[in-house]
Amino acid sequence: MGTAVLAAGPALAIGERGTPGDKLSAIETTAIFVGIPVAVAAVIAFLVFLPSIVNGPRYRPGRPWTATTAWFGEPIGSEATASAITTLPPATVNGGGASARW
Amino acid sequence: MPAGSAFTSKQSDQIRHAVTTAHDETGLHFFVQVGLVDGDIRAYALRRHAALGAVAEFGVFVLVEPEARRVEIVTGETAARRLDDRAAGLASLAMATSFAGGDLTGGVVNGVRMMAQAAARPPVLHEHEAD
Repeated sequence: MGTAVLAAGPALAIGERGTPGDKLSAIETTAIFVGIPVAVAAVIAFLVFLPSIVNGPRYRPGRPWTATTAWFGEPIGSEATASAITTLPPATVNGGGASARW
Repeated sequence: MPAGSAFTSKQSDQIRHAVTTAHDETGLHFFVQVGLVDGDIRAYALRRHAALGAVAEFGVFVLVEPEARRVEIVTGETAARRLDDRAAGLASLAMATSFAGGDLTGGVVNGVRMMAQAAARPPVLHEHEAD
């Protein structure tokens, strides 16, 4: 067995066996040294932007707001009714509330 | 923020779900508006709350003004008994903190949830005098 390893050893050395193959063509060289790095960079960039693609545009305080007004809850009352109100009903006046800024 | 809707359909669903759950838990009507307001924001919120009509008494109106960076909560007469100003103030502060971090959806959802929790507790009608 020892002799088998010794005999096999030199045969496994790099460059001992096989044909070296043809030179790389210009296209292959470009693909390996430019194409692969670009592809890797593209994958990383995609992964970086993935959260914002999934979550949609992010609100940034201080930037102008161009989105349409969003309303949640049953659509009761309207802008027009609100702007027409000059005296507040007791239901609102006797109520409460709070406000905060950021 | 590009033109169009401020929320994705998933985010809208989350807020809608929070509003519906809050209504189911408390019986109060919750309304959330996110958008620009001209002029006095508090006055607008009061008028918009008054425009709820018969529901105004049980209505909790939340106005988020993203450009002026203001959040206003208006509670109706009956709603205020269940959701006192201190609880509303706490919710508004929590919302403002989330908004400052850029999280509109999370802020609204958490704020509504906090108010629902506060309103779901039985109201304190008589507080004990200090012994």
